Amino acid sequence: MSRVAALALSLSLAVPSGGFEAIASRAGARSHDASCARMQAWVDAHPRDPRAGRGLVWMAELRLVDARADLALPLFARAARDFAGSEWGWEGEKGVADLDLARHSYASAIATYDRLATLPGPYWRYVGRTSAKAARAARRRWHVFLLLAALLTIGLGVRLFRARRALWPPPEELTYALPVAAVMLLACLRQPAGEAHAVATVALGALVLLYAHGVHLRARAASAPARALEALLGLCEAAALLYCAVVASGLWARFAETLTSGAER
Amino acid sequence: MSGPGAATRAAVSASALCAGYLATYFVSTALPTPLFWYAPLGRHVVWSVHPAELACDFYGRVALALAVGAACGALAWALTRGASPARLARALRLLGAWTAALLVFTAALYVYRLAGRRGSPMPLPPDYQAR
Repeated sequence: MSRVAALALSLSLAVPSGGFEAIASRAGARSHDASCARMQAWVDAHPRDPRAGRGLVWMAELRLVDARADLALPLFARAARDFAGSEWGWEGEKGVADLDLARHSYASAIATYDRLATLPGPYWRYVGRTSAKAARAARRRWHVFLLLAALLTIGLGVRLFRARRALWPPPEELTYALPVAAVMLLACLRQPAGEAHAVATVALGALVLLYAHGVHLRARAASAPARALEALLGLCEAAALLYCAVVASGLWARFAETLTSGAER
Repeated sequence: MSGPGAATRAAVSASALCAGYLATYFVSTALPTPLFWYAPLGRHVVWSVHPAELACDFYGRVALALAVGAACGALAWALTRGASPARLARALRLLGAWTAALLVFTAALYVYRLAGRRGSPMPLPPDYQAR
């Protein structure tokens, strides 16, 4: 179960009995749209009830389970605004910051996390500090990603331009890599969307890089040292492509965990 | 066809068999593929993606990979019938490269999967008594 689903479930189980509770505790029996519509009606009818903030965060978490960040954002923002200074207001602030992070709006997310880290109590200090640290690391990775993506694009463009008169037929090097790319694409058929996206990016991107290197070498006769340099550049480009695919797919944490803990963890 | 041409054609078929074998080994590992598993405790064979009991997939996976590889080899043999020596040489070079690439790729996958594996013992039977 994802962290978001677990939080939504715990919010459902944590509430006592009554109108609010009846809506929250029956979330599993209704569609998320129906549950959110009922909770929204309850919140609108009880805007000053202290549980309204919890209801807003509850709806936002349900929307996140459905990958509807566009619907979750205004709910978090309303919880942060209408219940500022309370537990659910801070949850709302963190929800907005998490969504900012997902949209690569690092400055506002880090500012919110830093502010949460100054709140009294160990929970928010811990959440704010660790979230800010993770967000700063994500910002560094995103900047490296942008730099590498730009360098890869420039390198690709330069090679294709220099070989513009001999782009067809495809170089033989490309055909050598076809089966590996094919089995990689086959293997990602049953993977979760993020992982499949990363694997497909690496497989297809590597073919594009290989094509560019092949036509470039074919069009411009190069000495042995130049070919060795080209091969070294190719390896660096493959590593850069892997980095870009992992970061763009949001898989950095899982990638690092897999490297450190092994395949079966 | 006889002599060097036949030998090259046989080599092309063998390379196709190897490439098909390796590709099947990789894909059947990466995707949840139903296989015959041998359960040594019960001494029976199970057809499953991953059986709940103690079982090994090696024989079933090798058999599947060999079957697909043999089909690829037979297809290559049929397709290269009447092919010119130059065409056969090119096919052999290409299939050799494919086999080498797939060998490295599949071996790397298994090294990666097995390098960090720690075996966990089966639970002792409820009536077990330590001597």
